[in-house]
Amino acid sequence: MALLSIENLHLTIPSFEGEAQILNGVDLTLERGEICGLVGETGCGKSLTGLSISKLVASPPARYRQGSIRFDGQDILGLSESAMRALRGRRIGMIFQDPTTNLNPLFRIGDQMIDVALHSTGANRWSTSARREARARSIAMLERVGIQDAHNRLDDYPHQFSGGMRQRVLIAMALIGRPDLLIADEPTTALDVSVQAQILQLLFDIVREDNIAVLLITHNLGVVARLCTHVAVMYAGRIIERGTMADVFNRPRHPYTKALLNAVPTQKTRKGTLQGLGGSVPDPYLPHAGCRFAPRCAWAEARCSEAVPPETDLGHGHGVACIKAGDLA
Amino acid sequence: MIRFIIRRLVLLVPVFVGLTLLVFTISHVLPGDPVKLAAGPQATAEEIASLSREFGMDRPLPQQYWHYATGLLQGDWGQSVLTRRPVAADLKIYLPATLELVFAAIFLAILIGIPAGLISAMTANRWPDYLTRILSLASIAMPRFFLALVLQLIFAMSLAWLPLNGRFPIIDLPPPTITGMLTIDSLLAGDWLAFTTSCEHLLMPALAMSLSPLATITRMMRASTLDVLQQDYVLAERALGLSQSLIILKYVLRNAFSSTLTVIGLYIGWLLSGSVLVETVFDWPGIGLYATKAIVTQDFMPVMGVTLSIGFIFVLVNLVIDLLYGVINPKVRYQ
Repeated sequence: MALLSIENLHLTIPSFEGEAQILNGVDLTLERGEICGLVGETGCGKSLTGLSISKLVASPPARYRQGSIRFDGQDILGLSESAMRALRGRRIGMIFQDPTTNLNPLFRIGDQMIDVALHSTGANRWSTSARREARARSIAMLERVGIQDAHNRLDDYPHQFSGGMRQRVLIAMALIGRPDLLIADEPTTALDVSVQAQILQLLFDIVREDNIAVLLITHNLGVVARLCTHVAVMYAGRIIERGTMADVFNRPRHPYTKALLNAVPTQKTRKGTLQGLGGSVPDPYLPHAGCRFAPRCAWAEARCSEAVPPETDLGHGHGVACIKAGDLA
Repeated sequence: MIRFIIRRLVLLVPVFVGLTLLVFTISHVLPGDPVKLAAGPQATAEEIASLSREFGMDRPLPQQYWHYATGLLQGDWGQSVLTRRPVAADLKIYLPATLELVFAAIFLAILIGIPAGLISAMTANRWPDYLTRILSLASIAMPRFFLALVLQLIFAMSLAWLPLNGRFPIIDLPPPTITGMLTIDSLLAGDWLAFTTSCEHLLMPALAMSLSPLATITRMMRASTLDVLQQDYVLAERALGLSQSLIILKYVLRNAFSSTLTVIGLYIGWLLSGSVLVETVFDWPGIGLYATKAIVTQDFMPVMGVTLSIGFIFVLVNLVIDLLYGVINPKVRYQ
C-alpha cells in the first residue's frame, strides 16, 4: 500500500466572484523513499494540494467536492482535528516557503522548537524531565541541520538568524518528530541562490538517511532535476503528467510538460530567445468541459474540448492526461 | 536600558516647559479677572488692587511666569486665589483618588477586553463575535455619565449591593495615607475591612469609566488577533501539530497584545483628563472635579497644577508602555 495516495481530489473555494475550482481531480501516489517534485505555475493548486494532505485548508469555506486522501491507510479528510494533530509533526512534517515569516518573531527558537518536540512525542508539557529531554533532542536536531553552538542558539530569537539558518531551524522543527512524509512547499524560493543549494543538499541528505518520503512543491525545474526521484506536473488544479524523473524529463508526453521544459533556458539558448508559453492560466471561476490546457495547446483539436482527458498509463507509472499522448511521442 | 530611561526622562523637561508656557499663556489671555471674582462683588478698587499685589498678578506676565517656574522647582505649585490653599497640598489629596479610579478602570478594561477580543476573533462572524461587537459598539456610543447613572440606579438604589457614591464612608476610619489610593493603603495597612469597603466604592465608577477603553481594547484585540491568525507562523505552528489552545494562548496572544498596548497607554491619559463626568456623578473627590471648579472660577494655579501633573503621569505611563514593548518584542529592546 502506498504511503500517500490522493485520488480524484476536487476542491472549491467560494469567493465574491463565485466558486473557484481550485483542484479538479488530483491523483497522486507517494511511496516511502520517494522524493516527488510537484511542479506547475503559480496558482495551479500545488500549495493547496500540500496543505490538503495535512488538512490545513479551512473547510468551510473551502469544500472538498469529491475524492480522497489516504495516508498510511487513514482517510485524511474524514479525520477529526485531534486525530489529525496526532499526525502533524509526528508522521507528517511541513516546511514552507519563506523562513523569515514562518517563525514567530516574539519567541525564542528554543521556545518554539521545544513545544514542537514535546508534541512529537506526546510528552507532558509541564514535566521538567520531559522538557529537559525535548531540549536535548532539539539541540541534537539543530546540530544535525548544521547549526553550530546549538546549545546557546536555542535562546536566540528568529531575527538573530540569517534566512538560510532560519530555514535550517524550520527543517529541524519539521523533522524532529521523525515523520514518514515531509511536505516541502517551495523551501528555497526565498533564499539566496548560494544558500539554496546548501539547504537542498541538507534536506536531501536527511530524508535519504531517515528514508522519508518527500513531496517537494516547487516551480523550479532545476531543483526537481537535481533532487527528485519522481515528478508530477500540475496544470489548473490537475496533475497532467507524472512518472519517474527520467520518464517525465527525458520523454515528456503532455504538451504542457514539453512547453514547460522548453521554457527552461540552457547554456545553448541563444541570447534574447527565451521560450515562453503563450496565453494565460484558465479562469478558475468559469465552468468548462474538456482539457483545460486546450486553449493554449499547439496540438489541440475539437475533441480536446469535449471531455476531460483521462490519464493514460504509458508503463512504469508514467501517466499522461492527454488524449493525444500516443501521437506526441 | 538605563540610558534609554534617562533619555526619556530628560525629554520631560521640554515637555514641561512647553506645557507650562502654553497653559500659562492661555489662562492669562482669557477675558475675566480671577482676582475680581475672588474678592467678591462688593470689593472696592483698592481691595482688588491689594489682592492682586498679594498674588503677584500686578507684575508683567514674563515675570509672573518666571516666578511660577522657579517656584515649581522648589516644590511650590502656587496657591489657589479662591481657597488660598497651596495647590501642591490639594493635588496630594485629589490626584491619588483619580489615579486609583483610572488604574482600576484600565485594569477592568484589560481584564475583560483581552479575553473578549480573543474570543471574538476566534469565533469571527459567529454569534459570540456578533455579541461582543454589538456590545462594544454600544459601550463606545453610550455616554459615560449616563452609564454611571444607570449603574447607580440598579446596583445602589434598587439592589443596594454597592454604595451610591463617595470614596469611603465618613463614619469609618480610613487607612493611614501612604499612596493616597485607599485600596492600596488599606492593603499596606493590612486592613481587610477597609480594603473591601474601598473596593465597593471603587467598583461602579471604575466600571463606568472602563467602558470606552474596554470597547476599544476588545475591538483592537479582535482586529490584531485576526491579523495574527493570518500570519505564516501560525500556519506553521498548526502544521507541526501544536494544539489550538497552545497556539492561541501562548503564541497568538503575545503577538496580538503588542499592538493593543499602545492604545492602553493613550487611554490612561485620556481617562485622566476626562474623569470629571464620572467623578461628578459618583461624588468622587478627584482632580476632574477639582480642575473643573478651578476652570469655572478662572483660578489659574490649580488648573496649571492639574495640567502639569496629568502631563507628567501621561509621559511616565507611556515610558512604562514603551519599556513593556521591549519585554514583549525582542526586536524593540532598547540600548
